[in-house]
Amino acid sequence: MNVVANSDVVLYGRRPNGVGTPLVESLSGYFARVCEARSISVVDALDVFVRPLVSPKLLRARSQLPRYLKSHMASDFDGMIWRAHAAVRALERLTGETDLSVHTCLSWRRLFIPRSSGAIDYRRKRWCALCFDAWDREGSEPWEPLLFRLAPVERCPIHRILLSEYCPSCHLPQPMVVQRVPLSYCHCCGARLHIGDPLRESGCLDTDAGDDGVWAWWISVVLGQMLSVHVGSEQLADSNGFVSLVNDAVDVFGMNSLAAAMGYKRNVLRQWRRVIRRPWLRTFVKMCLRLGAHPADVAFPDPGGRRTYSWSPWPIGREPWLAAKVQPAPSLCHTRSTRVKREAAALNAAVAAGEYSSIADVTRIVGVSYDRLLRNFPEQVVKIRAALAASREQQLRRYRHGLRTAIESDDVISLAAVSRALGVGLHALRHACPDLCARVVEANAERRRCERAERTTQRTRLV
Amino acid sequence: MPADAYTGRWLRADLEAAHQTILLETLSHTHFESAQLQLYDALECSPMAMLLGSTGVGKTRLIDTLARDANVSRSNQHAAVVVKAAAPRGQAFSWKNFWIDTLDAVADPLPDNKVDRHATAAALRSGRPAALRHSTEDTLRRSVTSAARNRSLEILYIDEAASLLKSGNERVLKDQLDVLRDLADHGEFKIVLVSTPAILESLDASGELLRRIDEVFFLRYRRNGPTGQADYTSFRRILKSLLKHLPEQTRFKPSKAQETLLYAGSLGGIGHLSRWLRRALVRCDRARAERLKWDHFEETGYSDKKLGQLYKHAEADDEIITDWTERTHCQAPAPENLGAPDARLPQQTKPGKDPNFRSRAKRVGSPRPTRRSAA
Repeated sequence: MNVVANSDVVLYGRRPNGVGTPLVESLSGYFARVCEARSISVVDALDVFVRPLVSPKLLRARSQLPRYLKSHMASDFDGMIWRAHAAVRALERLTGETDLSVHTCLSWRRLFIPRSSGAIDYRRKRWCALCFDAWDREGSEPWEPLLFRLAPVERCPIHRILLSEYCPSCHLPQPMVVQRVPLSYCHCCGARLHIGDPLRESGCLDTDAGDDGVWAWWISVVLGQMLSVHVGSEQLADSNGFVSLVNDAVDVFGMNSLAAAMGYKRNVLRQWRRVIRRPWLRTFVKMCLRLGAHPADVAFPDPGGRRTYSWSPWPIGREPWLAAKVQPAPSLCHTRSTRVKREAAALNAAVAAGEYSSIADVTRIVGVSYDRLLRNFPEQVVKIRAALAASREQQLRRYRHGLRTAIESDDVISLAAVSRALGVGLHALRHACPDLCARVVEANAERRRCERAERTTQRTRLV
Repeated sequence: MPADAYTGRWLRADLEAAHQTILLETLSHTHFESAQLQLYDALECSPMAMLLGSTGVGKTRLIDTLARDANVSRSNQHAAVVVKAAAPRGQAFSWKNFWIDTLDAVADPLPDNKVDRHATAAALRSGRPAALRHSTEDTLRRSVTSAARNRSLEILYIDEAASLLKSGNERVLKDQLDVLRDLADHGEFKIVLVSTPAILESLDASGELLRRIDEVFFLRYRRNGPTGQADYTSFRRILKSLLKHLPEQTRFKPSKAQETLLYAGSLGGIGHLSRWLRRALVRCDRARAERLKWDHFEETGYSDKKLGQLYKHAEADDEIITDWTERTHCQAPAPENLGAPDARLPQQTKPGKDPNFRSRAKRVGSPRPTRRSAA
């Protein structure tokens, strides 16, 4: 045991448990356990030791602290906002421990919506009866894992059973932070929370859970692995991984089909892509698993390669999300929408007919915007442009030939006549070949002058 | 402000500094160092030790110094702590208050507001009211053991230890001695009881405790003792070295007669002497005198009656110390007395006959053995 020589360290005697494992201890649970070790009340410890070290907004008045313990203390201490940060700093000073932020969700603060109520279920305490039993047999002190505080978690990742919420004796729910009985006891009747639990007494795992049970177990496993990954306060989860995952999915499946398959509005997906809005924890896990990615890999990208976990219930290479990647979920099998098919058909018809003189004509015929046309049919647009360029070149050659003919002829041929002969407007002709048109005008002016001069000479000779 | 109003500081700055130096000087006299060494030796050999001495010899100064040195040397503020055993109000000593004081000394959080969660859970199971139960003596003692382990406490000095053994009856006294014995056995730290020699009479009730304790006697300088002249010479030397630290203009040089009176007035105890010196300095400062005089010592010395009482107690303590330090049983007998019964040893019964032996015939319910006749 480490010697606690510093008098400022008053809450000593216990080390936090489970660091680097899925069942890492929660900060509120560690605080309650160390108060139990020192035989002091949690309310007294908060009032006397924690209050001077934190902002007055964090802790309420002394008379309201018992109620605070029952609900909001867990979400404040274990969450991902400034309250958890303040609690971590205070407890590091009081306990002498370092890096207590691994016992909170602080490293996820850039990944999810900052409100901790989305991550922490502050309404009731949950525990695994078999975990309590195992700790009892080992002779170690039970603790409260952070994983069991998370709202999406309903099953124990190790034993697969549903988490218990009610005392097996009196069938009453338990407060989040217990202060008058030890951790593994009921605060109403004083009975042990795992003795007499029907799940424990059955002696077998809850295997008849169905798809919903398997899904819930997957969530608890991957969240446990997410908790086991971050072991340093400097490492923060990055939202870029999730944004790129959603972008890739939209590019592959299309916005409409993706939104319909996931059950979210298109606006929500758009906001995720533009990092205007962050997802809830449950949404994040669901999106990752259904798109074939491990949430921990998305949250904490490992540039060195695939991460292997010290604890995993599946053999390496046979994780369920890998299977999902190879065979995507059935609801996402429609690769192209019917609208795109219709547009492709119209475009092909327009190109085949050749009844267009510009891209604008094509977009009008197909009935789409230029951006959509370019995004969905880039190759066709390139071909159309090439064809248009070729036809324009041919047209220009014809215009020049006609204008040169007009220049070289002996008769006066006006530009209007040339344009009528070529079947093009005067302005378009002038715009296409301004130099030749100017030469035609000059040539015409010269011929008229010559004719006038000749007529004048003939008149003079007659006279 | 009146001239004699209390301003929070009794002495002038130079006199205060001189007195602090004098106090430091009192840590380096012969008996002090001898008691220190004996205490270290005793703690090496047994889990408990007793530091015994008359009132005013400097026992509290000694343990404060030892605790401070231990904390500094181990870089641990709680390697050694001093706890004063509060005098009991009623008949028996209050262990609960003692444990609370000990927890406070090792900086355990909220020592006077401990709760017992297991007791609360037990109360809930039995259907009793569910208020948070405060700790009992047993749980406080376990808290002390746990705190001592975490803080790496090595030595616990219990001052005024005579209060621990104040009890109304023999049974309570025995229980309290058992608590001390358990603390010595199960705690991972040493215990030093500091008291006057009168405590030894209470310890007769527990042979097991006596076995675990080594006594260390902090003696006063006795002019009429076996080493009287040497003690008196040492006392005079100490007195001179103390007075040397006074400022030049205040310095007092006693005559030989005054030295004798100073010895008599302080009972040969350096603690008494340093306190008398301080009282004289305060009187000198209040009188705005430039130099310390014998008059100041006269005015601040003990009254005759008080001195008489103190002497009576000191001599009683000396007698107890003499009895407890006698080790004539360890001395080898004279060669001409070898083989003769040793009169120093306690009287023994004849070999083969144990007065506690009861013949079989006298045991209740057992038949008298009969002698069988030879065939």
